[in-house]
Amino acid sequence: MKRTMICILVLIFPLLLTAQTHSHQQGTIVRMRITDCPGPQHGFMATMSGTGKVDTGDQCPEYVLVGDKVVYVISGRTSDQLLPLAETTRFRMQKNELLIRIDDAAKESRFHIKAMVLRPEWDRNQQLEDAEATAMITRRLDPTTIREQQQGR
Amino acid sequence: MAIPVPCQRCWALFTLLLFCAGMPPAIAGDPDFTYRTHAAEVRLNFSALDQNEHGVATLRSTDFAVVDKDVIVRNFKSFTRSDWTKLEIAILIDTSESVTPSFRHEMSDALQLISQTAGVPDQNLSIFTFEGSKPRLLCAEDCRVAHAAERLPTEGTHGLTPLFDTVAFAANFLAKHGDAHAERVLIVFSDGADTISQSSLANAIDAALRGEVQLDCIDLNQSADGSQGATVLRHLARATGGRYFPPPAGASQALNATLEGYRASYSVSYELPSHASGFHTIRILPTHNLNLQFRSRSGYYYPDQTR
Repeated sequence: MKRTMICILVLIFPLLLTAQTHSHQQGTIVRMRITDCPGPQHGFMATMSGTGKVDTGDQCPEYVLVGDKVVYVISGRTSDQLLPLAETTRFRMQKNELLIRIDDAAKESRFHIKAMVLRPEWDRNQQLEDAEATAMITRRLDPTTIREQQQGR
Repeated sequence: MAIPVPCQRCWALFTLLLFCAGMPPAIAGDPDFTYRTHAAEVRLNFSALDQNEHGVATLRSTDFAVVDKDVIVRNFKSFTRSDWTKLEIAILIDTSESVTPSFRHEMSDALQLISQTAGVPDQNLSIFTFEGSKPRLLCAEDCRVAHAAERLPTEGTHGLTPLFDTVAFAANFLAKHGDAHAERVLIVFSDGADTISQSSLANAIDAALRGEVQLDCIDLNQSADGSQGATVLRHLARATGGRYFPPPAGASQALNATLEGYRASYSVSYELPSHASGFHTIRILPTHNLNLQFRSRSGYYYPDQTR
């Protein structure tokens, strides 16, 4: 009986390990800002009645995490929930939260997901923003525009 | 068909052309000139400290990232250790009555600092104070030999404390002085109480940020609890990337810590991530070791490109 159990465990262990590895995703944090902390969640009724969001007055870090297929906007729950800004961040999803293990910490840090965008859509928006910024700079340096601005003064 | 021009007329035409070429290209009725500025690179000086507030001398460019107006920058154009001998140090000594009990003690600490700044050339050291309602430069470039303590006002300022004006004055002095890429630090010995300045606290911070001057503030209050002066000093230090030393830290200890921090300071440059005009806030954060702390100015002004 013991031998059978050991054999089963030996067979199952690599499968469990693979499953765990697959549940983790990789991404890069590209933006960070300090914003109001997300208030405690009070469920569906409180959200619908407009009393769900409680302003605690604290400031928390908010990150934009770019994954392979999805881009997440996540927020820490406390002001000191800072992430190391390494090139690669490993994370996993659990119950509408994003879990990140910070180096050798005993347990993973939980982050509130504020928004999710599909990667192609986000890439397209970024390209549009970049094009707009470039156009703005070119317009500013364009002699005709400068002359018009001076005449308008 | 070509028209032959007599040689005499040819010389006259040549002279006229030369005269015209020497004239300034001014256009009557259009006195406005357009200056175009284009900045593509941000240069930032900062110091790195470990969890015990000791300087980190072995920092690598992969150990930190810069958050510039929300955008995370990891690719740097240059990363070098700052040259300690180029550090520009100014000391501001508050000589108002409110700090009189600790005045002599503070003076001796300042002198001790001056003797400790080995490696920093004489011309990079200056001392400021105030007399009446005006800021005063006590000595510059010859502070070690000038016996600065003897020049300090022996009497109080009769209740007048132009602290913010003196901070702005000293920041402007440092900004115009020395190497353009040098790190500049103003060490403020004060209780943080201002009574007569024309400048506001915001003006003083603005002058320090524009001049890229870091303010290290040593609190001379008896206690920092609930003191408005302590809040002012803390704010000055935080906004400019400096350090605040609460009482009774001991001025010499605080100065040692400050100078040690500058011995482990770095300079980094990177491509401007956003051309939005206005104030760009900056934070430097670790990429791996969350025990690392970084001190730098809180941001910079990116001007409108056309003035």
